Amino acid sequence: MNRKFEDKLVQLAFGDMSAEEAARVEAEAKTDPIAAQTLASYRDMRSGFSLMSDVPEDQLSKERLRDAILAQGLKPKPVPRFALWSYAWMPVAACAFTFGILMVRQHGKTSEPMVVMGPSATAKAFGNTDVTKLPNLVAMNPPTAKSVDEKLRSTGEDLVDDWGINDSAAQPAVDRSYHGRGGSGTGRSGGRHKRHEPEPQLMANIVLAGGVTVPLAVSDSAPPASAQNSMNNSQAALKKATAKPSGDGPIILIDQQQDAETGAQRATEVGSASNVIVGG
Amino acid sequence: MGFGASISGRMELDTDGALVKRARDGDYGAFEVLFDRHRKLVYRFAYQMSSRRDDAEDIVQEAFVRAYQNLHRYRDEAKFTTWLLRIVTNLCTDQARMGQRRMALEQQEAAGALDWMTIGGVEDPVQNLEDDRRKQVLKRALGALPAHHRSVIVLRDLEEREYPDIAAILGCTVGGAKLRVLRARRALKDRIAPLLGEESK
Repeated sequence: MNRKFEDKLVQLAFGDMSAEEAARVEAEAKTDPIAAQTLASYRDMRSGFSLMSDVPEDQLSKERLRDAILAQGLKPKPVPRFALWSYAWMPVAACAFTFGILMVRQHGKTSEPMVVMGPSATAKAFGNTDVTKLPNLVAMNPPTAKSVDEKLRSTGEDLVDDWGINDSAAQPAVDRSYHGRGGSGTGRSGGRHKRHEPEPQLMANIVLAGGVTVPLAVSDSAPPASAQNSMNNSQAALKKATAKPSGDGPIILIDQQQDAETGAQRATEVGSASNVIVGG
Repeated sequence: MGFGASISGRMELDTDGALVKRARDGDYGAFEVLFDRHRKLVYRFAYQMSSRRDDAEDIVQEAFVRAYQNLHRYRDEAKFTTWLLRIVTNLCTDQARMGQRRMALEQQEAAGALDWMTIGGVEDPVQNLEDDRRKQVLKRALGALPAHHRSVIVLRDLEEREYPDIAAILGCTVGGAKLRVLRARRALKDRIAPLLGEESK
């Protein structure tokens, strides 16, 4: 006997079935002795329920109930309206935590690239090219040490953008000057540069092999058209050189101000890019 | 005196909804009328669930206390008895789950041994004895069922409530209530069979 048929027998025994179906199921059950026995046991169970109908008298009273209610306070409990709101901080905290994690990760990624190369890496990247003749490395008005210091106190991202070494980050500034878009940069980088427009352009020097110092800057003035191709090539070379952070060489920052005693430009050697951002 | 009696008589004619509204507004007398009106029903259900009078009385009292304290949560679209039985069902389930109920089996059996002589509609003592044996088996089997099975058996087969009513009490659909009743009956039959075997031995 399958389970479905047993369900039918239960319904038949307890009268939860229409008359036609009941007659059909009962006829079917008569042919099967196990089904007949099951049906009999269910009917017996149902008749046994009628014996359980007698219930002894209760001793409940209004006084007893009143005492019980008074013991817990006569006034009905107010609805705790803040109950739902008391849990509202949980999703907010979860969102804030996730946002914080994402921000930390993003910040870690963007501040990762090296700002200034060591001499060995730069020499390797440029090979025998005379970098002093690169056409796009246009010397600009050197910034004061104070303005550089202020800039270094800002985020590493801004530093990279303004120095023009990170090509993708500096792209809107280049586009604005070269193609005459009038500063209508799109995307994150464009918006960020727009904020920095009033500030003077910054310049940094790259120390190459053999002690050659190259001033590096992005100019607002358009370069000559003939220099366009070689400029792109040199930018690609610079990008290639700065793409991988070089862990072997030191990072040297050279100020434009000259030392009062020696007359040479000041140089600061730092251990990592994080030092550059924090302390210059 | 006459004025008070007329007020009391008028309240007894009021619907449950009207009495609940008055009780909500602070009229404790209206709640007492509700208690008088429905305590038998609730007590029967609680007794069938717990099988002990003192337990059933405690459950009923606690149910009415909770009902009074949560009157503001009662929705008028449901019947008051349905809402009340829902509270009782939850209380019985909680009680069974927490194991607070102590089954005084010896006392019950001692009392049951005399039932066939003192209680019974049939004059024949042998028939009374047989009925009592079946009743005890059913009680034991019902008591051994999980609370969710027991409550649907009591509602449907002992209290003979309609399926929509059961569905409202249990907070499920009518189809769900039918299915629960079906499963509970099968579970009860499975429990009865070994008990009948013990009895015959």
